[in-house]
Amino acid sequence: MTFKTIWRQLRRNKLALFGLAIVVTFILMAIFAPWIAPDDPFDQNLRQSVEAPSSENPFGRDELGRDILSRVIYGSRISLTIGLISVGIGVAVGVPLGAISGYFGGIVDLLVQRLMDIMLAFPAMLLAIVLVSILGKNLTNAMIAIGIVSIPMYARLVRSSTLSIKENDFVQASKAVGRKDMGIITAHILPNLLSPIIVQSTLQVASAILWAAGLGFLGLGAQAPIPEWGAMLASGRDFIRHAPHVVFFPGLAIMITVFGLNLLGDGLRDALDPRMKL
Amino acid sequence: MTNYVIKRLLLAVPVLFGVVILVFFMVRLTPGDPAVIMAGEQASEAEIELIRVQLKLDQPLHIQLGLFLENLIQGDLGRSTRSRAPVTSEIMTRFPNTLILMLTAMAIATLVGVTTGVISAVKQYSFFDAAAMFVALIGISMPVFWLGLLLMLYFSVNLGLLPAAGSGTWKHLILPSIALATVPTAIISRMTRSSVLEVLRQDYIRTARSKGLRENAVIIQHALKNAIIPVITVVGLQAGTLMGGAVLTESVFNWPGLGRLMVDSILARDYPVVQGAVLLLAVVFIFVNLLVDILYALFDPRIRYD
Repeated sequence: MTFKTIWRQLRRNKLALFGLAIVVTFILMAIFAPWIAPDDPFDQNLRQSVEAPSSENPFGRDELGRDILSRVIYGSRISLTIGLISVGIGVAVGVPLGAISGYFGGIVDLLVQRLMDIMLAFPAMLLAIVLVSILGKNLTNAMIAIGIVSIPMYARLVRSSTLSIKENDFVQASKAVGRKDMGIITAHILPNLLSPIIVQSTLQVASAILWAAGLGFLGLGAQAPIPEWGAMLASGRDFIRHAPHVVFFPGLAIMITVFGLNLLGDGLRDALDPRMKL
Repeated sequence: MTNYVIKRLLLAVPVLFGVVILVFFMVRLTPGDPAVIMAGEQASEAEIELIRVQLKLDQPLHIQLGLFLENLIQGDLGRSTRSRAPVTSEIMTRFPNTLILMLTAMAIATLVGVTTGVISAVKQYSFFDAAAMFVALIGISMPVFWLGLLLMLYFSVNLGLLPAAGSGTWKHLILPSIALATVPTAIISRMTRSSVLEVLRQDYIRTARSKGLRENAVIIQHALKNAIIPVITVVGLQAGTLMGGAVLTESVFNWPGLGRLMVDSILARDYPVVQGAVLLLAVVFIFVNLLVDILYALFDPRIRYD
């Protein structure tokens, strides 16, 4: 399916376009953060601690007197990085594992699947917490942990699709003319898996952002003074009674971004794979 | 059916074993010397040595694993490095609290989710349908800890209706369980809607209608009965979402459950407790999944012959 046909399908879905607009805004915000943020996100001003939103600081100031709007804008960089890196890890490891497992079958398949079973025996967020507690609590390790958590999701998806694709005549023909297995996987199997992987990845970026914010909130992810949205919520929660704006805006940023990604992911799924339509 | 149950039980054994091994290696895989990490930065050489001997970290790895398994079978998970109490009693006093929270949230999610999903499907493309599905999508996108804080802000701080944190009375349970139920409610309602829509297109529904059954009877007796199978799976799968969410919700509302104990123990490097909590949660999750698979086979005989 070409980019043009996907776009034609997607254009008809107003909610998906709305999601796309949110995602594009989020990406632009992350790229151009230094130019659009009104203030330095690390600049403390204790005399203006937890100052309410005003025309000067539309989102108000946090407990250390930092401009929350600037921190939310810079936070999009962190969340985008988390999303891309962790999904990158999931794809880079999960896709080959799933393809090899599904294509070759036998003992390789058995071993890979049991390993995936063990990883799936933990609820995703719990596994991320376990991994962070092993690796040590910081932003990089949170990204790695979330990446590892998403491996079985890709491996499962790719394996089941590979199983059905490999029965197709074009794969059998390629085998018959003596093409090597790895060549068949890269030339015939993987290109046919692109659609489900794109859909899964869009939704996975949303989950990754939520999980990373959760880890940040628990003190197991990004550490101060990094303007990560979850960590901002955690440090602001003690001021919720007198200065609710401190927790309101970072949370809103998480919700809107994840909402946009979910809308887009749903739209892409409908456009790319009508059978999966919810 | 018995064969199927036995097969599924046997399949759970290697997974369970894998989980135990992973939990065993949790402490040992941590970069640095686990004894030093657990003892803390100010610990003396003697204190570090004591922990090393206590946890048998001075023994070869296979002996450590053997001892770990032997103790585990006897229900001995070691002692907390903070409170010195046995890990088993620490996690068992907290576990019921988490269970109550999760079950309440699950009950809310199933009730609200299934009802909304069915109404949405029956009144497809109506205002209710559009609004409910939009709200559901927002619910899925909502960080549970943020929602928790907002609920606390509105109902406790602003209105003063409910306690903001802690436990003890049924009032303490309301806000955390609503916060925790949001994501599963959204997912269950979306799944119920699509499942009911799928069933409503079937020939037997047309037959039921054409033989003059009232619409309510068609929906409840014919549609819902068949639509419920995928819904059961989704409800079961939410156990994982609930556990992850419970860790966060407990932290927001200061709820004395297993999730908060786990996070506090990670932050305090109390690894024996972390291991115990992780092991218990994973085992519960495996058994919930097993139960869902078995229920699924019970409701849908086609599964058993796969």
